[in-house]
Amino acid sequence: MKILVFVKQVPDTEALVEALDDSSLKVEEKFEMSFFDTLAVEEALRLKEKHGGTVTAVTVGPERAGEVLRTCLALGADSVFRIWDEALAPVVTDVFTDSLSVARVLAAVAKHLGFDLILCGKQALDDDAAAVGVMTAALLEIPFVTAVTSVKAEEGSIRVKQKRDGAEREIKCELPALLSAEKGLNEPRQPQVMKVMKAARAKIDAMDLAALKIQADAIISTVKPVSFTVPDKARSISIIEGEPADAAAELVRRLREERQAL
Amino acid sequence: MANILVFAEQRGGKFRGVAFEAVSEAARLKEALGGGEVTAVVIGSGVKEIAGTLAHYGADKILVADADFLAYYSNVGYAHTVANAAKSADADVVLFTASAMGRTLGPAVAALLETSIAGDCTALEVDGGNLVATRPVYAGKAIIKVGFEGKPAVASLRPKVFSAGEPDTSKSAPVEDLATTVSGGDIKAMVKDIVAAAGAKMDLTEADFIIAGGRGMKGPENYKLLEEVADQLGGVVGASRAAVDAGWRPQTDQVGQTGKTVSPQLYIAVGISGAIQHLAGMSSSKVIVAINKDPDAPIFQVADYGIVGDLFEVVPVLKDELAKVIEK
Repeated sequence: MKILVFVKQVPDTEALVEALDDSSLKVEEKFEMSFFDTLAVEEALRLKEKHGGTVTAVTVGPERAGEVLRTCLALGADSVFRIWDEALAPVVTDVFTDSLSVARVLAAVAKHLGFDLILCGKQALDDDAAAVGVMTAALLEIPFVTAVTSVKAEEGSIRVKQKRDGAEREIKCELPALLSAEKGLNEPRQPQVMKVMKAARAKIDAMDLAALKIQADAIISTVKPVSFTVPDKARSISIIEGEPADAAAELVRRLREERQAL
Repeated sequence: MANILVFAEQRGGKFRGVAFEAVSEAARLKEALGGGEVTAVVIGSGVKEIAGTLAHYGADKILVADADFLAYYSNVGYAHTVANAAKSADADVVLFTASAMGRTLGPAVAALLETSIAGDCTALEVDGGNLVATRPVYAGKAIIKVGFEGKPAVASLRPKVFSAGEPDTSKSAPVEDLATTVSGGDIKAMVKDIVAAAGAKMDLTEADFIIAGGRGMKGPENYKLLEEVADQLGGVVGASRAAVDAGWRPQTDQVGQTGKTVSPQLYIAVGISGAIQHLAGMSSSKVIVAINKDPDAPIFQVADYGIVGDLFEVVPVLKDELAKVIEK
């Protein structure tokens, strides 16, 4: 099975975020592979180990984004590609990603490389847009299932599980297809130190839009940032003191009288 | 003037609350954009009878695709049908709910309409005649406002953040059949089996009341305390990532960036410290109560009311106090 995995480099969840002014944001330069993507990579490797085939990891981003591809190599990916082009700079910035532009690039990559299965995370933990994977599948006109918690390959198809609305569904999906990974799909492995060292020296192949035969007018942002703010989420808390029984009674009274919350 | 297409989600022949929220928001937007038409789209099996209800919330026209093979969500069945409806309605704006289904359907429809999507928005406004959408990014550490270029503007609305209007039962709207260009045979990802989870309950994203427990609960057996309070208030129990990763609660109960995003009327965090990724999933709750023995826990920063104390002493008496007011 020929498997493609789409991965994205995102700021660490603990990275500091500051608003420089109304229109720009500064995010601390602490990066990692988006959590759900790590599950997609792991599942790709497990499918390869069980059924044979190849795992190719792809990311769209500037040079620093290639670090996540080194991680994929260290974990056992057969090949990796970083897609970048100056024409992408306006739609893939440090603080904003235009989903459709990236989906168009990834759809072109998938056609260029060929595939049986595409795996990606259900959303990236920077903008939580949850759009690129689904859009890529829609552009490729292939079936897709989002937020899967189990994947089993069969001849020419794949069986997946998805938890939704208090029930678990089993879905049979014809190949080629795209699946996005939900938490609980697997426990990602840690790379071996020797492989990390080897991956650190690997040359990361880059491809530009011309190599993928993407027309410049396909890269256009239809959703554009207008402003950024760093909200003050702090609410003015009322700490209710006293013995537990008194505090609980007081809390219930205030929830009812002040907030009509009960 | 704007033509607004809104997808009204139903399940098992009943509209979900989020469908009324989305249609109500579409009606509000129509006014803000200087008039136009709100077209609601309903897809499913045996849904034609319920479709008219959407007029009570402001739909001017209702399109229904009703077929056996549409009983369950499928990409070809749903996405192509909605995209075609958007084209034929000449939609300027297309709205979805950011539910599990909407977060799959929305981007697929947007791609078919050759546009991006602003997903999981917490506010929509009209500024100088243009639609502007607000959405949290970086686990809620920043808020981005986005504008739309070209047509249509596609957005999905975070459940329970937009309020459903008071239904006006005197209103009615024409209900028309929506042609589907696909048939059951086109479906390549087919639901084969549905196993209801043991004790299937309301989804966290739909609950008005959530009491969530974290590491401070000390073990799975103690969640019974929270279940009792949730039952009293007709709500559900949530959990922090720490509790889920420890195996105390199922993944489907997790509130946070890698779990569910919830906006109930009342959220009670019990023994939850309040890591940034947890706050990302619950800070849009209307009222937040924190119960924690550590007065420095970050959860107190985002709460409206707090009790610093041992949850094993506080929660049982809270249950008793709630019982008193609920009996009344």
